[in-house]
Amino acid sequence: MPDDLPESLLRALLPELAEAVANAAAPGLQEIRLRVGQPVRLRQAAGEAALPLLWSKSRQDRQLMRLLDNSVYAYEEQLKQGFITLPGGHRVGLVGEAWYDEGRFGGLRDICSLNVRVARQVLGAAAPFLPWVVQKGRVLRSLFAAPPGVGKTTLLRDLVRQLSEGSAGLPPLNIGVADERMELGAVVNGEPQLDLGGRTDIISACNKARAVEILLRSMGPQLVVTDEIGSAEDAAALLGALNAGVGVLASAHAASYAELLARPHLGELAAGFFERVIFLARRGGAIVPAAVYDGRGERLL
Amino acid sequence: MIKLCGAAAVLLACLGGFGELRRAMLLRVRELAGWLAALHILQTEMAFGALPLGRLCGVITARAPAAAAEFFQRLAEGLTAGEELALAWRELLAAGAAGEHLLLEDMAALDELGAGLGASGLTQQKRLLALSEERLRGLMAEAEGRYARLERLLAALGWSSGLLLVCLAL
Repeated sequence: MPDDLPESLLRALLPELAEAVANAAAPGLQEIRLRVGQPVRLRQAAGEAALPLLWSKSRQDRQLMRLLDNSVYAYEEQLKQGFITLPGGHRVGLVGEAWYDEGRFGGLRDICSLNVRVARQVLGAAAPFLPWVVQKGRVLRSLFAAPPGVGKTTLLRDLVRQLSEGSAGLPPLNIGVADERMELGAVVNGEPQLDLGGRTDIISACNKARAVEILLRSMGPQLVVTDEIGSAEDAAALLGALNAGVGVLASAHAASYAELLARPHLGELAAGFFERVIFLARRGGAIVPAAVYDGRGERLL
Repeated sequence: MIKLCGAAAVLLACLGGFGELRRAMLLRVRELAGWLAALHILQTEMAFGALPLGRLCGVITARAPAAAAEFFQRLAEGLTAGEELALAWRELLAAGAAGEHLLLEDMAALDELGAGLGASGLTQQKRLLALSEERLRGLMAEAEGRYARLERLLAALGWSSGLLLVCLAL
């Protein structure tokens, strides 16, 4: 069993799956894919691997009830969003058949695929980014962009942790995190599963616009952080933070600056609101800045 | 005198038997009342606290009357050990953990509750709990009725036996 395989993850799995994963997983496990009628597949640093364990509907149902603490009602809202967060911060995406209640989306049933994403905190991941984000004693409004899977959330998490504790010559900051997808702090039963520093307040599973409004009104943050922005409401919420004199860090899906500018709302934010737009890349397993733009669109790196 | 002693012995034996029956019926009523209290906690905590069952079992253990509390404590232990809820519930019922004095019809109602508990959204769970509550209330009303009838019968037997003893003594 690899040393970096979290015990909290194995506890959430059916005994036969936990055993198969522990026996077959290589270091750097990222995802466990459970599809009914297919063998279990692992995505890890070394590539994909299929386990000699056929995933039946009965196993899927038992696994789902285990993930849900035998309490579907307690996770109804998360199920509607298509994911649940586990102790340890691991996130399970799920799809199945949608059902509707009087024409409104009611949730998912007959779940046929689960994607268990392994949460790992990479302490120090933000170090190469701090000089770009902190200048002249303040945190610049910064957007971190990359395609999925590069490490935007991991980076934001570590940035929050470091800035919350005091870093790059800055005193410790009170930070408000709008964690709509429950990935940054992964709060379970009111307890953050991942370390976001000692001066961080997290509002979970709430849409970003409402979350930022609540944070500004009730927690008096010096910095607001949110993940994966993109809608008009997100843009309005961030402008609200700017009007309140609060710094902003955010992330978005985009592979290039041109792609970012072409996106509605995001393009406007990138061109005028953010003082830094930083593209991420993976090199040798580490997250590094691949390109950095200032607020006028000039490339600095 | 011998007749009097014999009659008294028979009477005492009958009283012992009836007393035991009366006690069992009273305890069944109490156990059903305990389950109704547990159901009430389940309903309120599910609706307002959205607590998962593992934690809900802890709340019921702390607040419900004895038999139901012990059942949920053992259920919580099973869930913590990774057992499946429906299976753990059925095993506890089979082991008599729901209450020593419950009858087969009470167990059937609880079995149906266990089969659906936690397995659906809040609206369905509320329906399941309301249905179970209705069934248990019906069973409890019937148990209370039986108990009241037994009480009346015992009172009548007590008076008539007393009269018999007086007659024999005279």
